[in-house]
Amino acid sequence: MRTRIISLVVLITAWWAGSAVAGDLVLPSPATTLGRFIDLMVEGRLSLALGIGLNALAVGGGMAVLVGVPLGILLGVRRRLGSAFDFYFSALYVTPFSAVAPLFVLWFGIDAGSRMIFIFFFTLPQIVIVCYQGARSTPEGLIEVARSFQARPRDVFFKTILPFEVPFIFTALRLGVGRAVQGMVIAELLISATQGLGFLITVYSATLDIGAVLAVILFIMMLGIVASMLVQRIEDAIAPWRHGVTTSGEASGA
Amino acid sequence: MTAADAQRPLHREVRGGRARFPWSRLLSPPLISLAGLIALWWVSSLAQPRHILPTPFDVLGEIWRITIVTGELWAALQISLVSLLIGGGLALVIGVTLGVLMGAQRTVEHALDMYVIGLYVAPVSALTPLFIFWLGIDLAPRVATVFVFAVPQVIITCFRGARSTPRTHIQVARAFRASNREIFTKVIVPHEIPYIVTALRLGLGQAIKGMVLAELLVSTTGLGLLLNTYSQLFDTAALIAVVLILMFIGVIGTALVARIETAITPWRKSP
Repeated sequence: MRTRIISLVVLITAWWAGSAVAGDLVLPSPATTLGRFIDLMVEGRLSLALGIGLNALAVGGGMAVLVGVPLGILLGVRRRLGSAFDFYFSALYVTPFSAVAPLFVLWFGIDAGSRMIFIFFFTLPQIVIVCYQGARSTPEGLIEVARSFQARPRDVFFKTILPFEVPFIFTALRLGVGRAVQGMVIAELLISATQGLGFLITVYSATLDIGAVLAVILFIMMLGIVASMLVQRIEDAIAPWRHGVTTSGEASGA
Repeated sequence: MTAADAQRPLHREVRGGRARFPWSRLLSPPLISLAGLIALWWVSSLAQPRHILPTPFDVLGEIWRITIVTGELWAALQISLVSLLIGGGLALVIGVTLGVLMGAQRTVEHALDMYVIGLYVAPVSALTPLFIFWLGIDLAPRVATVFVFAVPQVIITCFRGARSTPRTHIQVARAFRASNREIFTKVIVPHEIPYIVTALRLGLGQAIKGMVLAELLVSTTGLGLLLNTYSQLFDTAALIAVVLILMFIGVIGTALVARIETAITPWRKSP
């Protein structure tokens, strides 16, 4: 914990020194940034933009979870379906999806609906892939033991594969939350440009109000981090045996 | 390649009849689903005007045009790839170093983990406008975007690799009086190598995403300019053509690295 505090102090000092060298216009000091952040909060612009963003995030991301988890498990359990369709999700996952944004503008317009659809397709592959891998990586030995005890396919699914899958679902949720927030920002930078957090960034960087830009960016980053940490907490509570596997697990455990 | 060849006979013995690539079994479901998808696209495109949803043949024609006839894609891609190579290369070198150090040393881990996780889960695309303000609209902001997209992924993968070194291996090394340095170079680093290749694969995907996002936001040259021009001209077929080609590059790139991954660590090969 002490190391974390020291590194944070070093970072903020470096930021301060950097802004002293570069000037407040180019790199606003922590104080200026904080001041602009408070201004934005008091004016209510940040919370308004946040509300718009979070709405699209909740709908798009929620749909991605509702569709992605069952789909991933289905593809993982039915090998033939999996081999027929897994390719598209890994392709979507490695694809630079922001390239699709101009198409979405053409197809769905520039309003919130378009951003929801973008966030949905942006988040979906992440969730499908993790759940797919989870269902596929159920140890063959466990399934064989279940089979040799005369378990029906349904029992194998509900009593062997599904319990094994649970921690993967939470991993999918945690990664999905991060990805949905990213999708939200990309959608706002590329699709709407009339409202939301991405719009605030565009406007303030156009008016050279870099303090406000930094405030919004740091705020969005905090948002993503807090959301992921929350899901990590839930993951730890539900599947404590997996604790310590991931970086953020280490972080919350220390 | 020779190492992979040496593995092969053993492989065949262990996996029995599955040593030959089962074309008929593996390839047919993806082919069927691909044919179905294209057929669906074709049918639904018939009812739509060309600038909303062009037919697969329109898009095929556009792919032919921008790659062979005018070659405008290659010119644009060349400009973009420079930022990919510089940013991605930097991310790999710095990311592997930091990741391994964080995995091996608690102090380094505690000093950096907040920021790495922060950058990993945070929407780093929000930083691109800032890079444009600081670094101009030339190569630099695009390199910076590629870098911040790729580096957290690389660090985290390498960190997990170093941290997942089996405790027993380290204990055995300690029992044989290995120094800390020997534990690092002879136990942790060899365990780390497959993770570095994984980091390369995941980082490459991230880097390509960063490249395209930077292109779309900077859009003065390269792919960004190309995509912007097409979308302003309502040339949907050309737009889809570029998106498909970018997808293809992403898939082929990561598949190539995945090939290397399995060659290096055949025991991790998934069924």
